[in-house]
Amino acid sequence: MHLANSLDLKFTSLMQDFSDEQLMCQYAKGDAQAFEQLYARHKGGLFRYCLRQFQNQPIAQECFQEIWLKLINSRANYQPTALFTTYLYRIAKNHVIDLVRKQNKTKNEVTLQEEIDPADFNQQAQGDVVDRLSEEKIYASLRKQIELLPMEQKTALLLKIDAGLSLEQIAVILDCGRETVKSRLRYATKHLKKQLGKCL
Amino acid sequence: MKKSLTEQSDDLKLLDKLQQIYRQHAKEMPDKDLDKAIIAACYRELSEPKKIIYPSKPWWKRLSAPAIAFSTLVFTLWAANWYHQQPAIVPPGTAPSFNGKQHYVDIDFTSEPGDEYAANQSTAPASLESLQKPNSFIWSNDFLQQPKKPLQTSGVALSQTEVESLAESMDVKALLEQSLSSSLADDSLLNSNSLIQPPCVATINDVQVACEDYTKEKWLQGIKELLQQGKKHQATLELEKFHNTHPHYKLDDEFMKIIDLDS
Repeated sequence: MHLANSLDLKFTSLMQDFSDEQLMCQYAKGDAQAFEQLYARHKGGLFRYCLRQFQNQPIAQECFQEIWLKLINSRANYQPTALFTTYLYRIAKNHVIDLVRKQNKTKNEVTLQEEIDPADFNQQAQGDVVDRLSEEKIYASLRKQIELLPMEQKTALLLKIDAGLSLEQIAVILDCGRETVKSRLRYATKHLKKQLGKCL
Repeated sequence: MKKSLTEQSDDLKLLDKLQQIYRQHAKEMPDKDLDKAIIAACYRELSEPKKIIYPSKPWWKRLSAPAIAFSTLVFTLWAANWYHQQPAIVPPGTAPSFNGKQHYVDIDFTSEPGDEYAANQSTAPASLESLQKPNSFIWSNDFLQQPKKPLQTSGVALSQTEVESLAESMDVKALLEQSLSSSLADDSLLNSNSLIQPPCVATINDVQVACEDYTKEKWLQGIKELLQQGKKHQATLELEKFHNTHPHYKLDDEFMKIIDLDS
Protein backbone atom coordinates (compact mmCIF):
# COMPACT_ATOMS: atom_id res chain seq x y z
CA MET A 1 0.00 0.00 0.00
CA HIS A 2 2.79 2.33 1.01
CA LEU A 3 4.66 1.40 -2.12
CA ALA A 4 1.61 2.09 -4.24
CA ASN A 5 1.23 5.55 -2.69
CA SER A 6 4.85 6.38 -3.32
CA LEU A 7 4.50 5.23 -6.92
CA ASP A 8 1.47 7.42 -7.29
CA LEU A 9 3.37 10.42 -5.98
CA LYS A 10 6.23 9.72 -8.34
CA PHE A 11 3.78 9.46 -11.22
CA THR A 12 2.10 12.74 -10.27
CA SER A 13 5.44 14.52 -10.12
CA LEU A 14 6.24 13.11 -13.50
CA MET A 15 2.93 14.43 -14.78
CA GLN A 16 3.89 17.92 -13.75
CA ASP A 17 6.72 17.84 -16.23
CA PHE A 18 4.40 17.23 -19.13
CA SER A 19 3.07 20.06 -21.23
CA ASP A 20 -0.63 20.75 -21.47
CA GLU A 21 -0.75 19.26 -24.93
CA GLN A 22 0.94 16.05 -23.85
CA LEU A 23 -1.45 15.74 -20.93
CA MET A 24 -4.44 16.27 -23.18
CA CYS A 25 -3.19 13.61 -25.57
CA GLN A 26 -2.78 11.21 -22.69
CA TYR A 27 -6.27 12.00 -21.50
CA ALA A 28 -7.58 11.39 -25.00
CA LYS A 29 -6.00 7.94 -24.80
CA GLY A 30 -7.84 7.30 -21.53
CA ASP A 31 -5.57 8.61 -18.79
CA ALA A 32 -7.78 10.26 -16.16
CA GLN A 33 -4.85 11.46 -14.07
CA ALA A 34 -3.63 13.52 -17.00
CA PHE A 35 -6.98 15.24 -17.02
CA GLU A 36 -6.78 15.88 -13.27
CA GLN A 37 -3.44 17.53 -13.79
CA LEU A 38 -4.82 19.66 -16.59
CA TYR A 39 -7.80 20.62 -14.53
CA ALA A 40 -5.61 21.65 -11.62
CA ARG A 41 -3.55 23.85 -13.90
CA HIS A 42 -6.39 25.69 -15.57
CA LYS A 43 -9.36 25.65 -13.24
CA GLY A 44 -8.52 28.95 -11.55
CA GLY A 45 -8.00 30.94 -14.69
CA LEU A 46 -11.04 29.57 -16.41
CA PHE A 47 -13.22 30.04 -13.39
CA ARG A 48 -12.24 33.67 -13.06
CA TYR A 49 -12.80 34.12 -16.76
CA CYS A 50 -16.37 32.88 -16.34
CA LEU A 51 -16.86 34.91 -13.19
CA ARG A 52 -15.81 38.16 -14.84
CA GLN A 53 -17.97 37.47 -17.84
CA PHE A 54 -21.17 36.93 -15.86
CA GLN A 55 -20.57 38.77 -12.58
CA ASN A 56 -22.71 36.10 -11.06
CA GLN A 57 -21.22 33.20 -9.12
CA PRO A 58 -23.89 30.53 -9.80
CA ILE A 59 -24.04 31.27 -13.51
CA ALA A 60 -20.25 31.39 -13.68
CA GLN A 61 -20.00 28.03 -11.91
CA GLU A 62 -22.54 26.50 -14.24
CA CYS A 63 -20.73 27.87 -17.25
CA PHE A 64 -17.39 26.66 -15.89
CA GLN A 65 -18.73 23.15 -15.37
CA GLU A 66 -20.27 23.00 -18.82
CA ILE A 67 -17.03 24.10 -20.44
CA TRP A 68 -15.10 21.33 -18.74
CA LEU A 69 -17.78 18.81 -19.63
CA LYS A 70 -17.51 19.88 -23.24
CA LEU A 71 -13.77 19.34 -23.05
CA ILE A 72 -14.25 15.94 -21.44
CA ASN A 73 -16.66 14.81 -24.12
CA SER A 74 -14.62 16.14 -27.00
CA ARG A 75 -11.32 14.53 -26.06
CA ALA A 76 -11.21 12.62 -29.34
CA ASN A 77 -11.44 15.84 -31.35
CA TYR A 78 -8.35 17.45 -29.87
CA GLN A 79 -5.49 17.89 -32.29
CA PRO A 80 -2.06 18.23 -30.70
CA THR A 81 -1.14 20.84 -33.31
CA ALA A 82 -3.23 23.39 -31.42
CA LEU A 83 -2.21 24.76 -28.04
CA PHE A 84 -4.30 23.40 -25.23
CA THR A 85 -4.96 26.84 -23.76
CA THR A 86 -6.17 28.04 -27.14
CA TYR A 87 -8.43 25.01 -27.42
CA LEU A 88 -9.81 25.39 -23.91
CA TYR A 89 -10.45 29.12 -24.08
CA ARG A 90 -11.98 28.82 -27.49
CA ILE A 91 -14.54 26.41 -26.09
CA ALA A 92 -15.01 28.80 -23.17
CA LYS A 93 -15.51 31.84 -25.39
CA ASN A 94 -18.07 30.11 -27.57
CA HIS A 95 -19.93 28.79 -24.58
CA VAL A 96 -19.99 32.18 -22.90
CA ILE A 97 -21.35 33.75 -26.07
CA ASP A 98 -24.04 31.08 -26.24
CA LEU A 99 -25.05 31.70 -22.64
CA VAL A 100 -25.02 35.46 -23.06
CA ARG A 101 -27.26 35.15 -26.06
CA LYS A 102 -29.59 32.88 -24.18
CA GLN A 103 -29.91 35.17 -21.24
CA ASN A 104 -29.95 38.32 -23.28
CA LYS A 105 -27.05 39.38 -21.24
CA THR A 106 -26.08 42.24 -23.49
CA LYS A 107 -29.18 44.11 -22.53
CA ASN A 108 -28.40 43.68 -18.85
CA GLU A 109 -24.90 44.98 -19.39
CA VAL A 110 -26.24 48.19 -20.81
CA THR A 111 -28.57 48.72 -17.89
CA LEU A 112 -25.76 47.89 -15.49
CA GLN A 113 -23.56 50.48 -17.12
CA GLU A 114 -26.32 52.98 -16.78
CA GLU A 115 -26.83 52.19 -13.12
CA ILE A 116 -23.22 52.74 -12.09
CA ASP A 117 -22.05 56.18 -12.92
CA PRO A 118 -18.31 56.16 -13.48
CA ALA A 119 -18.15 59.76 -12.40
CA ASP A 120 -19.14 58.74 -8.91
CA PHE A 121 -16.28 56.33 -8.82
CA ASN A 122 -13.93 59.01 -10.05
CA GLN A 123 -15.09 61.31 -7.31
CA GLN A 124 -14.47 58.57 -4.81
CA ALA A 125 -11.10 57.88 -6.28
CA GLN A 126 -10.17 61.51 -6.19
CA GLY A 127 -11.11 61.88 -2.57
CA ASP A 128 -8.88 61.85 0.45
CA VAL A 129 -9.21 58.12 0.78
CA VAL A 130 -7.45 57.54 -2.53
CA ASP A 131 -3.96 57.72 -1.17
CA ARG A 132 -4.74 55.24 1.54
CA LEU A 133 -6.42 52.69 -0.72
CA SER A 134 -4.76 49.40 -0.33
CA GLU A 135 -3.92 47.22 -3.31
CA GLU A 136 -6.84 45.05 -2.45
CA LYS A 137 -9.19 47.94 -2.86
CA ILE A 138 -7.57 48.80 -6.13
CA TYR A 139 -8.04 45.21 -7.17
CA ALA A 140 -11.70 45.31 -6.15
CA SER A 141 -12.19 48.46 -8.23
CA LEU A 142 -10.23 46.98 -11.07
CA ARG A 143 -12.32 43.84 -11.04
CA LYS A 144 -15.49 45.87 -11.04
CA GLN A 145 -14.32 47.99 -13.94
CA ILE A 146 -13.20 44.93 -15.88
CA GLU A 147 -16.65 43.49 -15.44
CA LEU A 148 -18.14 46.67 -16.84
CA LEU A 149 -16.06 46.55 -20.01
CA PRO A 150 -17.71 45.57 -23.28
CA MET A 151 -17.56 41.85 -23.81
CA GLU A 152 -14.95 41.81 -26.58
CA GLN A 153 -12.56 44.07 -24.67
CA LYS A 154 -13.18 42.19 -21.46
CA THR A 155 -12.44 38.82 -23.08
CA ALA A 156 -9.22 40.10 -24.62
CA LEU A 157 -8.13 41.69 -21.36
CA LEU A 158 -8.90 38.61 -19.25
CA LEU A 159 -7.09 36.33 -21.64
CA LYS A 160 -4.12 38.64 -21.45
CA ILE A 161 -3.86 39.48 -17.77
CA ASP A 162 -5.37 36.36 -16.21
CA ALA A 163 -4.64 33.50 -18.59
CA GLY A 164 -1.37 35.15 -19.63
CA LEU A 165 -1.81 34.39 -23.30
CA SER A 166 0.11 36.13 -26.06
CA LEU A 167 -1.55 38.46 -28.55
CA GLU A 168 -1.33 35.80 -31.25
CA GLN A 169 -3.01 33.19 -29.07
CA ILE A 170 -5.77 35.62 -28.13
CA ALA A 171 -6.25 36.43 -31.80
CA VAL A 172 -6.70 32.74 -32.55
CA ILE A 173 -9.23 32.32 -29.78
CA LEU A 174 -11.21 35.41 -30.73
CA ASP A 175 -11.02 34.73 -34.46
CA CYS A 176 -9.58 38.12 -35.27
CA GLY A 177 -6.28 39.74 -36.17
CA ARG A 178 -3.41 40.51 -33.84
CA GLU A 179 -3.87 44.23 -34.36
CA THR A 180 -7.54 43.95 -33.46
CA VAL A 181 -6.61 42.31 -30.18
CA LYS A 182 -4.07 45.02 -29.58
CA SER A 183 -6.58 47.79 -30.17
CA ARG A 184 -9.14 46.09 -27.94
CA LEU A 185 -6.58 45.86 -25.17
CA ARG A 186 -5.68 49.53 -25.69
CA TYR A 187 -9.30 50.60 -25.46
CA ALA A 188 -9.76 48.50 -22.33
CA THR A 189 -6.65 49.93 -20.73
CA LYS A 190 -7.73 53.47 -21.57
CA HIS A 191 -11.11 52.83 -20.07
CA LEU A 192 -9.61 51.41 -16.88
CA LYS A 193 -7.15 54.28 -16.67
CA LYS A 194 -9.95 56.75 -17.01
CA GLN A 195 -12.12 55.05 -14.44
CA LEU A 196 -9.49 54.18 -11.88
CA GLY A 197 -7.79 57.54 -12.20
CA LYS A 198 -5.14 58.26 -9.67
CA CYS A 199 -5.42 54.86 -8.03
CA LEU A 200 -3.02 53.56 -10.61
CA MET B 1 4.15 60.15 -34.04
CA LYS B 2 6.34 60.49 -30.96
CA LYS B 3 3.27 61.19 -28.93
CA SER B 4 1.51 58.09 -30.11
CA LEU B 5 4.58 55.98 -29.37
CA THR B 6 4.81 57.33 -25.86
CA GLU B 7 1.09 56.75 -25.43
CA GLN B 8 1.52 53.17 -26.52
CA SER B 9 4.38 52.57 -24.14
CA ASP B 10 2.32 54.13 -21.34
CA ASP B 11 -0.55 51.82 -22.16
CA LEU B 12 1.75 48.83 -22.12
CA LYS B 13 3.18 49.87 -18.78
CA LEU B 14 -0.28 50.32 -17.41
CA LEU B 15 -1.31 46.92 -18.77
CA ASP B 16 1.67 45.30 -17.05
CA LYS B 17 0.78 47.03 -13.82
CA LEU B 18 -2.83 45.92 -14.10
CA GLN B 19 -1.71 42.38 -14.81
CA GLN B 20 0.54 42.43 -11.78
CA ILE B 21 -2.18 43.69 -9.47
CA TYR B 22 -4.77 41.37 -10.91
CA ARG B 23 -2.61 38.26 -10.65
CA GLN B 24 -1.62 39.09 -7.08
CA HIS B 25 -5.16 39.25 -5.89
CA ALA B 26 -7.26 37.18 -8.22
CA LYS B 27 -7.54 34.04 -6.17
CA GLU B 28 -11.12 33.00 -6.83
CA MET B 29 -11.40 29.28 -7.32
CA PRO B 30 -14.30 26.97 -8.01
CA ASP B 31 -15.90 25.03 -5.17
CA LYS B 32 -14.40 21.72 -4.22
CA ASP B 33 -17.73 20.07 -4.95
CA LEU B 34 -17.54 21.42 -8.44
CA ASP B 35 -14.02 20.04 -8.78
CA LYS B 36 -15.20 16.65 -7.66
CA ALA B 37 -18.16 16.71 -10.04
CA ILE B 38 -15.96 17.54 -13.00
CA ILE B 39 -13.34 14.93 -12.15
CA ALA B 40 -16.10 12.37 -11.65
CA ALA B 41 -17.51 13.29 -15.06
CA CYS B 42 -14.05 12.66 -16.53
CA TYR B 43 -13.84 9.19 -14.99
CA ARG B 44 -17.39 8.44 -16.07
CA GLU B 45 -16.59 9.42 -19.62
CA LEU B 46 -13.51 7.21 -19.68
CA SER B 47 -15.31 4.21 -18.24
CA GLU B 48 -18.42 4.59 -20.41
CA PRO B 49 -17.47 6.52 -23.48
CA LYS B 50 -20.43 8.01 -25.25
CA LYS B 51 -21.11 6.45 -28.57
CA ILE B 52 -21.57 8.86 -31.39
CA ILE B 53 -25.09 8.36 -32.65
CA TYR B 54 -25.56 9.49 -36.18
CA PRO B 55 -29.09 10.53 -37.10
CA SER B 56 -30.66 7.67 -38.97
CA LYS B 57 -31.69 8.28 -42.57
CA PRO B 58 -34.23 6.24 -44.48
CA TRP B 59 -32.81 4.00 -47.22
CA TRP B 60 -34.32 6.09 -49.99
CA LYS B 61 -32.65 9.22 -48.68
CA ARG B 62 -29.30 7.50 -48.53
CA LEU B 63 -29.71 6.20 -52.04
CA SER B 64 -31.10 9.42 -53.51
CA ALA B 65 -27.74 11.05 -54.30
CA PRO B 66 -26.20 8.04 -56.10
CA ALA B 67 -29.52 7.36 -57.83
CA ILE B 68 -29.73 10.91 -59.16
CA ALA B 69 -26.11 10.76 -60.32
CA PHE B 70 -26.66 7.41 -62.03
CA SER B 71 -29.89 8.47 -63.75
CA THR B 72 -28.24 11.69 -64.97
CA LEU B 73 -25.40 9.67 -66.45
CA VAL B 74 -27.76 7.20 -68.12
CA PHE B 75 -29.90 9.98 -69.56
CA THR B 76 -26.84 11.80 -70.90
CA LEU B 77 -25.55 8.66 -72.58
CA TRP B 78 -28.97 7.86 -74.02
CA ALA B 79 -29.38 11.39 -75.38
CA ALA B 80 -25.90 11.36 -76.90
CA ASN B 81 -26.59 7.99 -78.52
CA TRP B 82 -29.98 9.13 -79.81
CA TYR B 83 -28.58 12.28 -81.38
CA HIS B 84 -25.73 10.30 -82.85
CA GLN B 85 -28.12 7.90 -84.56
CA GLN B 86 -30.29 10.63 -86.05
CA PRO B 87 -29.86 10.96 -89.84
CA ALA B 88 -28.28 14.12 -91.09
CA ILE B 89 -30.72 16.65 -92.49
CA VAL B 90 -30.61 16.33 -96.25
CA PRO B 91 -30.21 19.72 -97.86
CA PRO B 92 -32.57 20.67 -100.64
CA GLY B 93 -31.23 19.63 -104.02
CA THR B 94 -30.41 16.03 -103.24
CA ALA B 95 -32.29 13.30 -105.06
CA PRO B 96 -34.67 10.91 -103.33
CA SER B 97 -33.57 7.30 -103.45
CA PHE B 98 -35.51 4.41 -104.89
CA ASN B 99 -35.48 2.20 -101.83
CA GLY B 100 -37.16 4.82 -99.70
CA LYS B 101 -34.04 5.61 -97.68
CA GLN B 102 -32.44 9.01 -97.50
CA HIS B 103 -29.97 9.65 -100.22
CA TYR B 104 -26.72 11.32 -99.27
CA VAL B 105 -24.59 13.19 -101.70
CA ASP B 106 -20.87 13.00 -101.24
CA ILE B 107 -19.51 16.27 -102.39
CA ASP B 108 -15.94 16.34 -103.52
CA PHE B 109 -14.76 19.79 -102.56
CA THR B 110 -11.34 19.21 -103.97
CA SER B 111 -12.66 18.71 -107.48
CA GLU B 112 -12.73 22.44 -108.13
CA PRO B 113 -9.77 23.97 -106.32
CA GLY B 114 -10.57 27.44 -107.61
CA ASP B 115 -14.05 27.38 -106.16
CA GLU B 116 -13.82 29.59 -103.06
CA TYR B 117 -17.44 29.18 -102.18
CA ALA B 118 -17.16 25.39 -102.10
CA ALA B 119 -14.05 25.67 -99.96
CA ASN B 120 -15.89 27.82 -97.48
CA GLN B 121 -18.64 25.20 -97.24
CA SER B 122 -16.20 22.50 -96.17
CA THR B 123 -18.44 20.94 -93.56
CA ALA B 124 -21.92 22.22 -94.22
CA PRO B 125 -24.17 20.20 -96.49
CA ALA B 126 -25.02 22.00 -99.68
CA SER B 127 -26.43 21.30 -103.07
CA LEU B 128 -24.20 20.72 -106.00
CA GLU B 129 -25.83 23.53 -107.91
CA SER B 130 -25.16 26.05 -105.24
CA LEU B 131 -21.54 24.95 -105.09
CA GLN B 132 -21.06 25.17 -108.80
CA LYS B 133 -22.51 28.65 -108.88
CA PRO B 134 -20.34 30.53 -106.44
CA ASN B 135 -22.44 33.65 -106.58
CA SER B 136 -25.68 31.95 -105.70
CA PHE B 137 -27.14 29.90 -102.94
CA ILE B 138 -30.27 27.88 -102.36
CA TRP B 139 -33.28 29.69 -100.96
CA SER B 140 -33.39 28.92 -97.30
CA ASN B 141 -33.97 30.57 -93.97
CA ASP B 142 -30.42 31.68 -93.66
CA PHE B 143 -30.53 33.91 -96.71
CA LEU B 144 -30.70 36.94 -94.46
CA GLN B 145 -27.37 35.96 -92.96
CA GLN B 146 -25.80 36.13 -96.42
CA PRO B 147 -27.55 39.11 -97.93
CA LYS B 148 -24.84 39.96 -100.41
CA LYS B 149 -25.26 36.79 -102.48
CA PRO B 150 -27.98 36.67 -105.08
CA LEU B 151 -31.03 34.81 -103.94
CA GLN B 152 -32.19 31.78 -105.90
CA THR B 153 -35.26 29.72 -105.31
CA SER B 154 -35.87 26.63 -107.41
CA GLY B 155 -35.48 28.16 -110.78
CA VAL B 156 -36.13 31.69 -109.46
CA ALA B 157 -33.13 33.93 -109.15
CA LEU B 158 -33.08 37.32 -107.46
CA SER B 159 -30.55 39.91 -108.38
CA GLN B 160 -28.25 41.67 -105.94
CA THR B 161 -30.31 44.85 -106.00
CA GLU B 162 -33.46 42.88 -105.38
CA VAL B 163 -31.93 41.23 -102.35
CA GLU B 164 -30.79 44.58 -101.04
CA SER B 165 -34.19 46.09 -101.54
CA LEU B 166 -35.64 43.02 -99.87
CA ALA B 167 -33.44 43.51 -96.86
CA GLU B 168 -34.43 47.17 -96.71
CA SER B 169 -38.14 46.84 -97.19
CA MET B 170 -38.55 43.32 -95.78
CA ASP B 171 -41.57 43.00 -98.05
CA VAL B 172 -40.72 39.41 -98.78
CA LYS B 173 -44.04 38.33 -100.12
CA ALA B 174 -44.34 41.08 -102.70
CA LEU B 175 -40.80 40.62 -103.90
CA LEU B 176 -41.12 36.88 -104.29
CA GLU B 177 -44.42 37.25 -106.07
CA GLN B 178 -42.83 39.63 -108.53
CA SER B 179 -39.78 37.46 -108.99
CA LEU B 180 -41.77 34.27 -109.45
CA SER B 181 -44.24 35.68 -111.90
CA SER B 182 -41.44 37.13 -114.05
CA SER B 183 -39.38 33.98 -114.07
CA LEU B 184 -42.14 31.44 -114.42
CA ALA B 185 -43.13 32.85 -117.74
CA ASP B 186 -39.75 31.87 -119.21
CA ASP B 187 -39.39 28.63 -117.41
CA SER B 188 -39.72 25.74 -119.76
CA LEU B 189 -40.33 23.46 -116.83
CA LEU B 190 -43.69 24.95 -116.22
CA ASN B 191 -45.16 24.52 -119.61
CA SER B 192 -48.29 22.48 -119.88
CA ASN B 193 -46.59 19.71 -121.89
CA SER B 194 -44.83 18.50 -118.81
CA LEU B 195 -46.33 15.37 -117.29
CA ILE B 196 -45.29 16.45 -113.84
CA GLN B 197 -47.05 19.67 -113.03
CA PRO B 198 -45.09 21.47 -110.38
CA PRO B 199 -47.50 22.50 -107.64
CA CYS B 200 -46.43 26.11 -107.86
CA VAL B 201 -48.40 26.54 -111.07
CA ALA B 202 -51.62 26.01 -109.23
CA THR B 203 -50.65 28.17 -106.36
CA ILE B 204 -48.77 30.89 -108.08
CA ASN B 205 -50.50 33.63 -106.17
CA ASP B 206 -49.73 31.96 -102.88
CA VAL B 207 -46.07 32.67 -103.00
CA GLN B 208 -44.98 30.93 -99.85
CA VAL B 209 -46.66 27.64 -100.72
CA ALA B 210 -45.28 27.72 -104.20
CA CYS B 211 -41.74 28.28 -103.03
CA GLU B 212 -41.95 25.50 -100.56
CA ASP B 213 -43.51 22.98 -102.93
CA TYR B 214 -41.77 23.66 -106.14
CA THR B 215 -38.57 21.71 -105.77
CA LYS B 216 -36.52 19.43 -107.89
CA GLU B 217 -37.15 16.67 -105.43
CA LYS B 218 -40.87 16.84 -106.13
CA TRP B 219 -40.17 16.57 -109.81
CA LEU B 220 -37.92 13.58 -109.33
CA GLN B 221 -40.43 12.08 -106.95
CA GLY B 222 -43.03 12.34 -109.68
CA ILE B 223 -40.69 10.63 -112.17
CA LYS B 224 -40.11 7.91 -109.64
CA GLU B 225 -43.84 7.43 -109.23
CA LEU B 226 -44.25 7.18 -113.00
CA LEU B 227 -41.62 4.45 -113.07
CA GLN B 228 -43.36 2.61 -110.30
CA GLN B 229 -46.61 2.84 -112.18
CA GLY B 230 -44.89 1.28 -115.20
CA LYS B 231 -45.05 4.40 -117.38
CA LYS B 232 -41.44 4.10 -118.33
CA HIS B 233 -41.63 6.11 -121.53
CA GLN B 234 -43.20 9.13 -119.86
CA ALA B 235 -40.75 8.84 -117.00
CA THR B 236 -37.81 8.75 -119.39
CA LEU B 237 -39.06 11.87 -121.17
CA GLU B 238 -39.50 13.69 -117.89
CA LEU B 239 -36.08 12.58 -116.77
CA GLU B 240 -34.51 13.89 -119.93
CA LYS B 241 -36.29 17.20 -119.42
CA PHE B 242 -35.05 17.32 -115.89
CA HIS B 243 -31.53 16.47 -116.92
CA ASN B 244 -31.57 19.11 -119.59
CA THR B 245 -32.92 21.72 -117.19
CA HIS B 246 -30.56 20.81 -114.37
CA PRO B 247 -27.52 19.31 -116.07
CA HIS B 248 -25.33 19.62 -112.93
CA TYR B 249 -27.78 17.95 -110.62
CA LYS B 250 -26.37 14.68 -109.38
CA LEU B 251 -28.98 12.08 -110.14
CA ASP B 252 -29.46 8.75 -108.49
CA ASP B 253 -27.76 5.78 -110.15
CA GLU B 254 -31.11 4.29 -111.11
CA PHE B 255 -32.05 7.47 -112.97
CA MET B 256 -28.66 7.59 -114.64
CA LYS B 257 -29.07 4.03 -115.92
CA ILE B 258 -32.41 4.95 -117.47
CA ILE B 259 -30.87 7.95 -119.20
CA ASP B 260 -27.92 5.91 -120.45
CA LEU B 261 -30.20 3.16 -121.74
CA ASP B 262 -32.33 5.66 -123.53
CA SER B 263 -29.44 7.40 -125.18
